Amino acid sequence: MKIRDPRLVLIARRLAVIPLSLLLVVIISFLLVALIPQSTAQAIAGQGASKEAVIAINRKLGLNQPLLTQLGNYLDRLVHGNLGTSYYSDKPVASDMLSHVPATLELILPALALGMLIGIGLGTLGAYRSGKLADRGVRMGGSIIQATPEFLLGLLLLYVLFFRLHWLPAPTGQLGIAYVNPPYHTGLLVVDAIIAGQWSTLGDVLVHLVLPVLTIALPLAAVLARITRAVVGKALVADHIAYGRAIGLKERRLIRYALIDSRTSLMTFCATLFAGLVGGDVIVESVFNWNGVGQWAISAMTNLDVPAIQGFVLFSGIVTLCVYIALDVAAVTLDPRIRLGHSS
Amino acid sequence: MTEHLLEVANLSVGYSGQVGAPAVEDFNLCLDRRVRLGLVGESGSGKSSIIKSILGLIRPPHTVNAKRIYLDGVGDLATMTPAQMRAVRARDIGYIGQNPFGALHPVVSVARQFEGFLSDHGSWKGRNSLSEVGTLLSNLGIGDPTRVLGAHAGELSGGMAQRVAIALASLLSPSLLIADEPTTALDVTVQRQVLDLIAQPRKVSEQALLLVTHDLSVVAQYCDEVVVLQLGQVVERGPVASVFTEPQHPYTKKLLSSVPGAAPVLEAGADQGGGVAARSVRFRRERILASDAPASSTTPVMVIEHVDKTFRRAGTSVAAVCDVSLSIGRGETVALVGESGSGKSTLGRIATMLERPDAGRVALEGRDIHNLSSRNLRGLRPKMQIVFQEPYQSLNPQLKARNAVSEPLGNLRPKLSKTDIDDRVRDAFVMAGLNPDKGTRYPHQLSGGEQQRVGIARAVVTRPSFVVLDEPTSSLDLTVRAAIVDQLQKLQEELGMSYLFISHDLATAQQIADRIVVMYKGSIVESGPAWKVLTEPLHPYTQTLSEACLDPDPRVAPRPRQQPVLVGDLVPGACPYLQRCLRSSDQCKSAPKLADPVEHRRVACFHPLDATSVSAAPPQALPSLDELLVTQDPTV
Repeated sequence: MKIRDPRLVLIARRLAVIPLSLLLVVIISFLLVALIPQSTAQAIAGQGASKEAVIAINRKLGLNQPLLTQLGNYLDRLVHGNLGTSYYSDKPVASDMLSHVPATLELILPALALGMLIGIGLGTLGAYRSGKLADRGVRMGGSIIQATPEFLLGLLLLYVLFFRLHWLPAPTGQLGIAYVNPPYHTGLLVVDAIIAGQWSTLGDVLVHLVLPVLTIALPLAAVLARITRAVVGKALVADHIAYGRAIGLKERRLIRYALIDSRTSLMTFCATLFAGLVGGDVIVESVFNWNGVGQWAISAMTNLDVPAIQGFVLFSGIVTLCVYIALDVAAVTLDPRIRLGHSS
Repeated sequence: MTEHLLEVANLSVGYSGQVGAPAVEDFNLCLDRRVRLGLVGESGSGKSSIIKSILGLIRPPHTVNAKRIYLDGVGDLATMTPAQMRAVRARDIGYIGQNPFGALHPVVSVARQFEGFLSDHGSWKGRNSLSEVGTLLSNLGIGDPTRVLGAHAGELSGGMAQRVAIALASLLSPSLLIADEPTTALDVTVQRQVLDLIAQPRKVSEQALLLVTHDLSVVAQYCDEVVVLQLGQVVERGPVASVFTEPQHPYTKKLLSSVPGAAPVLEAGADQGGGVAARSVRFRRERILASDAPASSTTPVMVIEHVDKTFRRAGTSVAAVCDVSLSIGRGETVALVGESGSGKSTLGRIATMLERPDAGRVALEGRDIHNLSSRNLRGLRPKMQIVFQEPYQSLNPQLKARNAVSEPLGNLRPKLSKTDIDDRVRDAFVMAGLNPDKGTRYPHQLSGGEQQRVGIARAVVTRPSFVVLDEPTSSLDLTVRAAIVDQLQKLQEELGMSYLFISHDLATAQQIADRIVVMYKGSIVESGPAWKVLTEPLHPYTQTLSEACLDPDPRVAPRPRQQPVLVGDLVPGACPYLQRCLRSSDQCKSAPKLADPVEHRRVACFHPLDATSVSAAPPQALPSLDELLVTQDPTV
């Protein structure tokens, strides 16, 4: 009977599959694009282009070679850290894409944080006051938000908070037209503005963030409230809570215990939601004119800009993998049930 | 004239949405200091409702009506606000629950829980408090309190977890201790240690004990007074000595006659057909006398030879069954006894090939089955069936009882006609003692006993030759339990089936089985005729098990307990019982083989007990809670 630290075993096992998973992501992203029925060269050349022009483009981009050779070339480039060059802008895909990532991060990180705060808070309230007015209110509010399409929610918020009340600025992207970007350090405008000490710019960045963040956060909060209500509701009827009440623990502590009991499950849901957001939220980015990675990717897709699409799929894949690995490590560290090998 | 410590007057409890009589009606109780009172009843008797009302844990829309619930030194609990009641709990009324792990948070460490508990009661004094908790834990028989304090629920055994709960319940020295089935979920060997801690006669402290239990033996041995509840009403109350020897109410008599091994009370009432258990005891005795040599003449129905099974998960491996051999003759009942983790259920699942052994041979009626494919096994399934411990969980909630019972018939070849199936199902219902009209019910519409009868009907519908009974009665009420055991024995007489009866309880095993096989940590340590294994154990572990059986007659003093049980890690290659054994020597560093020192009996021990002179070492009892309460600083 050999006993190793199950935590290390689990982490090692997760790390071991990363290269394989990555390879699969790369191959899938390559094949997905390669299988698109439309001819890439034709798309680049335009509808009315001559046959010779299309052939020339095919040759130039290496699209006339067998699929396997193309895959080999692609992998070879990847190994050297080269994601290729955009068919359209002629700029390297990697730097082009990464320049759009900070804008998206600046949007989704606060949105996720706000969504978690509201969702987990209200979900816990609903679970604790199960069946009471608060619970029914939270559930109804959540259902309404979940039933509202995101673009409509964004437009509604714009209509009320910008158009009618003038509390918030017009959807002109990250900054109002009167402002210029602060000097580049991190790409995150909030951070860059602080570094540069441009406080009025910072204020403008922040007010421009409110609406898009809300548009993403509210549906997230609705989903999370629903999940939290179920998970925490189950934890609140566990034996140890009933016992805690019987030995006179305060209700506040009991709620905290229920939340601690549920945190691994909640973390898993949040990580899943985050993984779904890293690709950028195309709808919100278009409604608010946000120059994020989602907008960038959608234009790559409509243009059939193959290297850009592949780069984007690879990027989302890597981030998702990292999020899940971090989740596993956190779960094993925080939850003795997993550490001890109990199924939970 | 001192006042009563607790006085409950005209208590009624009603649950919203409940039809019919309230859960508890007009309940009265007086409990004096130092008195240990047993509150006895089956499920639905209202015993939990009573203690929940005393603790103030029943909230609207459910209703509690009481003229008064007076706790001396505190006041009338019935008129207190929830916030006042919260402070009363633990400070004035200690509580120990049934599920030992229910006391522990699965993620928060034990030390942090003590911190939370003490700070909610305004008694947290940082490091000092923790060291006092540590002292209390070690006084409660926890060898390594530092480790336990740093541990989480999953790292503790049931007995350890229950000790932590006892510590939580006694830290603030409450004047009343309420224990709700404190040992039901524990292994029998641990049961007595826990009871010795919480229910010793009060010599020094004045604490009163309200012990809620369904187990009459516990009341007989550990209580001064008893209140018997049936359907929310008190049917009998009085001192334990008189209620147990001269029960007045028919329900009390029925309860007492349902206790396994309750021979003295039974024989008086057996003639009136009052004792279902009496019948089985007689039946088994006759059979043992008829065939002293356990069925070896004919081919055994089930043969298990040198079976191994190891479970692996997340970096650790647990040997659930190692090198076990067993054979069961036609019409024979073999009881497999052991505590949780002994591998008895795994062996039962291997015998029915629900689990495949890593090595070894399993044969049904002379035919090897351990190497058959799932498809070929399916053809043999009608010959071997299993009845599970949790009747409700073993039934598909979407299937009507009738359909659940007819399912195994689908494996019979040639296929039965529809009318044949209906006939067989109806027969099975009758055999299981269930009205066939109940066939249209869904599992949740049946009582626990009826659900288990469906489980039995499902097992016998194919007329199997071999049935595994995996603790079929342990989740049932006492009177239902006796009836189910009776039914199983009647069926065996009719159909000539062989049973492998898995149980953690020697008394029940002895009641039903011809032979008892005792397992410990995956190995068989002893086997032999049922009667003898219990009364004249050879293996020290079997002795511990038999000592753990409490006598339901309060006049019979409990047998002295040999030792506090310390469970350490298994030493590879050594006797599995080494850490707990008082008789061990250097020889025990190698594993003993099963040998037969006496005819028909086998034991795996280098130093078996002499059947004639069971050693009478003086019991080394731990200090009881009673004594600890006084030595404990009440301000902790």
